Amino acid sequence: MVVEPGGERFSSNADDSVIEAAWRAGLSWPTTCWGQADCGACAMEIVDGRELLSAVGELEAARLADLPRRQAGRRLACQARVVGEGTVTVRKPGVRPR
Amino acid sequence: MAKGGHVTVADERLNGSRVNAHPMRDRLHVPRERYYDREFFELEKERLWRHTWQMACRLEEIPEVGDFTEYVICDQSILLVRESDDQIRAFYNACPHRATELLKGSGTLFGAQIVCPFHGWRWNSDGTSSFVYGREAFAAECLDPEDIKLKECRSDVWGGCVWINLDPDAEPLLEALSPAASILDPLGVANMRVWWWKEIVLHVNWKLAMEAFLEGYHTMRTHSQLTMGLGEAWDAGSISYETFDHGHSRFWGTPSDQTMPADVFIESARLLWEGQDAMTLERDVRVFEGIRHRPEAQTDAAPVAIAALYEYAQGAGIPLPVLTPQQMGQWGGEVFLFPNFFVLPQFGNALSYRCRPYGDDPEMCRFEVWSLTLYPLGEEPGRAVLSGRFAQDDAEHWGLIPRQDFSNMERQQRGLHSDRFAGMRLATEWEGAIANLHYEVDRYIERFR
Repeated sequence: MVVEPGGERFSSNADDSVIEAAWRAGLSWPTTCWGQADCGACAMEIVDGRELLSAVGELEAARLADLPRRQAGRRLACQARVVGEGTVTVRKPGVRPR
Repeated sequence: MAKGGHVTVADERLNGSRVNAHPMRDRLHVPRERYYDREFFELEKERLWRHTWQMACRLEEIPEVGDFTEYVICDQSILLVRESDDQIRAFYNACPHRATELLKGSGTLFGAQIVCPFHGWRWNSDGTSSFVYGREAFAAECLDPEDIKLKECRSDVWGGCVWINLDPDAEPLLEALSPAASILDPLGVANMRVWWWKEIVLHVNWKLAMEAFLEGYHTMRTHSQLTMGLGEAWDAGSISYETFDHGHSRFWGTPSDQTMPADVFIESARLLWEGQDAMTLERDVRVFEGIRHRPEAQTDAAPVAIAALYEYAQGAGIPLPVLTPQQMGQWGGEVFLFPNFFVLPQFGNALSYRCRPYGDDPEMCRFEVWSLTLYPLGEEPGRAVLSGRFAQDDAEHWGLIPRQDFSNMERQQRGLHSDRFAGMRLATEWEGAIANLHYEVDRYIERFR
């Protein structure tokens, strides 16, 4: 994973959601519900590699539908998992070393 | 509050303490008010549920680190959180800030964080505070770290389940469950896992719903099909009962001189499988089918069938424990663990019930049913999930046997209110476990005055 604009890099696999992988890499990632697909604060813009992410589930779809329209196309970092091989680039201000 | 000595009803009221106006007077009768009276229900809330060990969840409901589930008993909600592989915590479910229940239902914590949905205060899964949003807005005395920890209650593990007790001074779990737990231990209940799990909400007092399962006397009329055509000639005395201290009890089938040929044995097993998909499962019926034509099974099939079952279990890697004849005698019977938990073991399977008050209504209960089994080692299923809440006449989700049981309960609850119904009268031995349950309830009411 590459996170713009800070340029943070970390590896992620299908066992973890993106946010869990980021935590494991010592990064903090905006959230207020801590992984419950409830707050939407972890939503990230997908710059490249959307096809490498897991499909949107029911819970995530419901939360994404509540996001402001200008944030359309985002994914929740607490729900999306990297399931393909390659680099996913996202944009998420506020991701930084803890 | 007065403890010990003679206290009159008037004194008690002056002290603001509740009085048990409907105590058990003997073991042959149960006052009807115990099943609907508001004051009696409040006594149970205050003195029974706040002091007794109770089954809060099955271990496989929270199998992975971070998994949680909520246990609700009357007006209390307790969170069971798996903090680590071998540590489970039980927290009162209320935010120390402004009381919001922190988590509902079941789920998984991520980053080991419990987050209040109101103002975003957070706790680690060990209950210590990890974050107070806007900390600077509070006086130091409001944020004392010890004081804003999540409050824990007693918890312990037995029989594949997490048990809790809201009383910090309660006796240890195994003492409270004695001797019922030790009857079940050799039968492998700790290794059993959920085959299915369903629930029903009934317009019935929680004790009344349970009492249908404390005796086998009702089998003849309620479950006529299980008498194998005997009807009223079916001998209810073929079931033995034993009551214990602490409110526990059990029953089991008395070994009789009458033996069953293979076809009757298999038909009887099939009725249990088809009738409730519990205690006897399809896998067992299939094994029994294998002995149908064996010459040695034509007069007394049971020992041949059991031997076949052990042979199958060994080949399949199922940890079916070796039992003494006495231990095996509990198969097909029932063990009741006060106040509200049942295990009915058979063939390395079990049916299990839990029944508790529902809402704040003395005449409502939530009755859960588990079918449990021993899976081949290494093939145990993952997280157990309630498959749903189903109506009592839902033939798609309830087998014939539970539907027959449920069908009497609401009629009984209504019958209690009949102007000319005086109170329950009990069979001395066959319904003694009902009286035993009530005596223990009274003991709690008296003890925690």
